[in-house]
Parts: sequence; structure tokens; C-alpha cells
Amino acid sequence: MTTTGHPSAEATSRDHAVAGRPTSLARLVAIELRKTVDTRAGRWLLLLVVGAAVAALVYRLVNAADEPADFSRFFGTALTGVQLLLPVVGVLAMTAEWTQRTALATFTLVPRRGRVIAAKFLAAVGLSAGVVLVVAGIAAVATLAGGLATGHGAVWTEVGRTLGGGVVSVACNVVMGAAFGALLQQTAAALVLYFVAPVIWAAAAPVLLGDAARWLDVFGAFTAISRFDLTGVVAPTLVALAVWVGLPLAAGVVRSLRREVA
Amino acid sequence: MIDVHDLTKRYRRTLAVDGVGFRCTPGTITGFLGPNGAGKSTTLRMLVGLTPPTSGSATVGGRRYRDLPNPGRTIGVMLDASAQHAGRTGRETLRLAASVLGVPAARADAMLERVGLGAAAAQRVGAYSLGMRQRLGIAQALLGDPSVLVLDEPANGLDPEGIRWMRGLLQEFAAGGGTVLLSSHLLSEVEATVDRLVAIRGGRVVAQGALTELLAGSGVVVRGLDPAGLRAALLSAGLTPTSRPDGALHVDADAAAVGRAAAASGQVLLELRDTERGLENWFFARTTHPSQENAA
Repeated sequence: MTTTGHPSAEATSRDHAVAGRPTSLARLVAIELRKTVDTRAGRWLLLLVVGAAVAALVYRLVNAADEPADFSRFFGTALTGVQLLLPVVGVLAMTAEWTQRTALATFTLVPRRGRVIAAKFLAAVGLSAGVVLVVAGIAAVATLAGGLATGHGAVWTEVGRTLGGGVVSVACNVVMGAAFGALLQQTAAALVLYFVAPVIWAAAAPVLLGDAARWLDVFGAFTAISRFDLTGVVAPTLVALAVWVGLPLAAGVVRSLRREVA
Repeated sequence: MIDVHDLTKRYRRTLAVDGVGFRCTPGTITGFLGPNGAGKSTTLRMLVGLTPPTSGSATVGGRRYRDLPNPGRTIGVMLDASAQHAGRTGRETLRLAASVLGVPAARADAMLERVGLGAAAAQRVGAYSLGMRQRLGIAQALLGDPSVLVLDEPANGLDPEGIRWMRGLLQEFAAGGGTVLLSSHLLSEVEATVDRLVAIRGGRVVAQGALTELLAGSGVVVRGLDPAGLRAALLSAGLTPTSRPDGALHVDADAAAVGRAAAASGQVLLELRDTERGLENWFFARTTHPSQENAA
């Protein structure tokens, strides 16, 4: 049997150098964005979202009314499916690494987990805004096409407000998806809860709480925010956001920071 | 340099790791040995900050793991080769890590070549065998050009050729001044690779030290041209030979004493060597309860 005892005197030089600099938050966000599109599943999800928008616009064009094509209405049509599907990106941002077990490598490379979680959050919101803008571009083309097809021309009123409202509205839903994902850290359970809980609540709350239900109406809150008009509803909006988004997000982040990665 | 000091992890009812302490110095390969469930992986996860310890501390190069500015540049870690996204290619997996580490993407490709995955770089990890995933994990651990390596069961799933390859790689790494800590229950693999041993059972360190020291002191095997004469010579020198099944004698003394006794009586020796007390015997003598022998 041969045993190689390397004398440590010849070998200490490298060890004292604690090498490298921290990975910047911007780079972490870029990495998280890349993770959402570098698998087939991720690419398909985004294609599905954009495809849903295109399908809705085609339907609207085929069934165009005999009137000028209004961009804000085309955009609204395109956004319906996006609004429904894009929160899945938010859920996956927070659950995928736990479900796929890649959290092990990720948090080994970046042990300050809060930075990774912040990067995932920013990446999900940023990606959503990007997708909404792409969809807006497609909607604009459809509006032009609609105007030409009917011969009534296109109408472009309050484009900035429409776009901003769309981005904010989708972002709200994505943030809520991310909050549910962070809370449950398991893709299937988080998706089910995200889609089912608000629906059940919307049906049950008026029965249970009567008029007070508006304090916990999260979709009402999202609508108010995306219209940039909180007149008279500031308090209920904040309460609904705190309960449906703030609480699960905070609890989820605390859980992610503390839990054992196996 | 790895310093583990009095590390303890208590889950609700069980004490998974109980006051584990050891040190790994540059230029050495330390084998972290123990049966399944002994607390090896938990100890390694505490070392790299994935599991919060109940008490105790662990440092790498004098710093807590989470205080390292970019840990992968100091310490390469592979804890579970199968914990990779099945939908990413090997190349993409390493390029993502390279981006976190701040090393050029070209280094990811170079490491894939180095571990023999160059031809499989564009395949998805889901199509990799366990041995290929181990190689990918080792490539990822080496990616940041660290001075310390921590590998949990790195020989798992490797074929004999792969195990020989990894042994060479680790010895080269240590010869260059690196510190290696690897866990294993593949005893034969460890015996040929490591300089030092830390053996753990039931969450406690049961033995640690240099491989040669730990295996020494178990006597010598001696064979002579005239077995009866040799036996008499040893007895007259105050030694106590015992017969072995293969006809040789076992003596609980060092080789010098046996050789001297034989020479004094003019006995011709055909063989004189340390007892082949494989690490496996040593390991089982120290880490297995009689009642657990069949459980592992």
C-alpha cells in the first residue's frame, strides 16, 4: 500500500487566498432570467403565453366589428390570456429550484440566499413586463391590420396609460404567484393554491363577510392599481395586498432563508 | 484549510451529528468515512451553510462559509451529483455556474473536456448516467479554481476506470497544495486515495489520524525456510508467534524485532511484512455495532 503524505509546508501558498468577489445582484438577476429560458419547459411556457395573445388577437380580427380598431381594446383582448398564464412564471421562479433540487447547487454557490431570492423576484417581474411589452407590440400590429381591414382606421388613445396599466396589472398577478410559490416551495401545490384559492374566496367572502369582503378583494385591488386610481379605496387596497401578497411573500422568504437545503 | 469544531446537529428527537471536530490541511486528502446515516452528509451540509448547525462552527480558510465573498472560488463543493436540472445540457449547467463564479464561459467548456464530458456537452443532463453526473459535479466543483474541494461520495456510480481517474485527479489537486475532504463508504476506494481518515459513527467521530498511523500496530507476517525453526527462534526471543492458515506466522511485534530474532538463530526468511489489515477490517471494527452488521 502506498500512502502519499504531501508535506504541507510546500503547499500552503494557495490556501490563504480567499478568492473572488461577490456576484453582483445585476448578474444574479441575469442568471435567473437565463434559467427561465434555458430549458424546453421554460421556453414552451413563454411561447404558450405569447401564443395565447396571438390567438386572441386573430380571433378578434376575424370577428372585427364595423368600427375603427381601438388599440386599448386590442391590447386588452391580448392581455386576458397573458394575465392568466404569466403568473405561472412567478410561481415557478420561487418553486422550481426546490422541486428540481437545483437549490442545492444554487445556494452552495451563493450562500446569502436572500440575494438569490431577490434576484428571482426581480427576474420574474422584469420578464413579465418584457412579455407584456412584446404582446403590446403584437397588439399594435393587429390594431393597424384591423384598421386597414375594416377601412375605418385605427384609434390610439391613452396608449401610455393603457400600456402602464397592462404592465402593472400583470406584474401584480406575477408577484402574487411568486408569493404563493415562495410560501409553498412546491410547484404543483403552489399553482393549485394560486388558481383556486382566490376563486373560492371570491365566491365565499361576500356570503361570509358581506360588505366587508372588499377589504380582502385582491383582484379588486389589482384593478384599482392598474387603473392608477385609488380614490376612496386606499385602505382596502393596501389591506388586500398585505393579506394576499405581503404575508405569503414574507413568510415564504423567511422560510427559504431558514430551511435546510437537502 | 478546513476547520470543523464541535459541530452538532439535533433534529427533534435525534442527534444526527454530535460534537464532530477535525481539521484538513493543505496538501492532504482526508477521507470522511462512515456507514449510511452516520452523519457524514449532514456534517458536510453544515460546513457549506446548507444546514444550520445546532452548535459548533466550521470555517474554510479561517472564514465561515457564508462569509466567503464568492465561495466557489475558494471551495469547490459537490454534495449530490443527481441534484441537477434534467432539462439543461451539461454545458449550460456549467455556464450558469461560471457566470455566478465570474469565470469565463470558455472555462466551462474546458472543464467539460477535463472530466471527459466534451462529447456529451450538448446532451441534456437527464440523459446522463450517474457516473456522468458525478463527472459533471466534479467539473462544477473545479470550475472556480478553488483551493479546497469537498465531495460527498464522489466515487458513487463511477466505473473502475472512472474511480482510478478521480483518484489521479484528487492526488494531483492535493499535490498542487489543495485541500481535499471526501466522504465515502466505498472503503477500498478511500484506502488508495486518502492520507488521513476521519471515521464517524452515530454522529460521533470514532477515530481520526493519518492513514498509516491508524493502520499500524497490528503486527507482522513472517515466513521462513524452516517454519518450526523460525517458531522456536521467535519464542526464544520472547515473542509470541501464532500460525496463520497459509502456513506463515503472525507476530505482534515490529519487523525489526522479528528480523533480529530470526538472524540471531540463523533462520532464513522468505517473507517479512506488515499484516495486511485492510482498511475494510479496520473500518468495520470501529464503525459497526454487532447488532447493526446486517442492517447497513
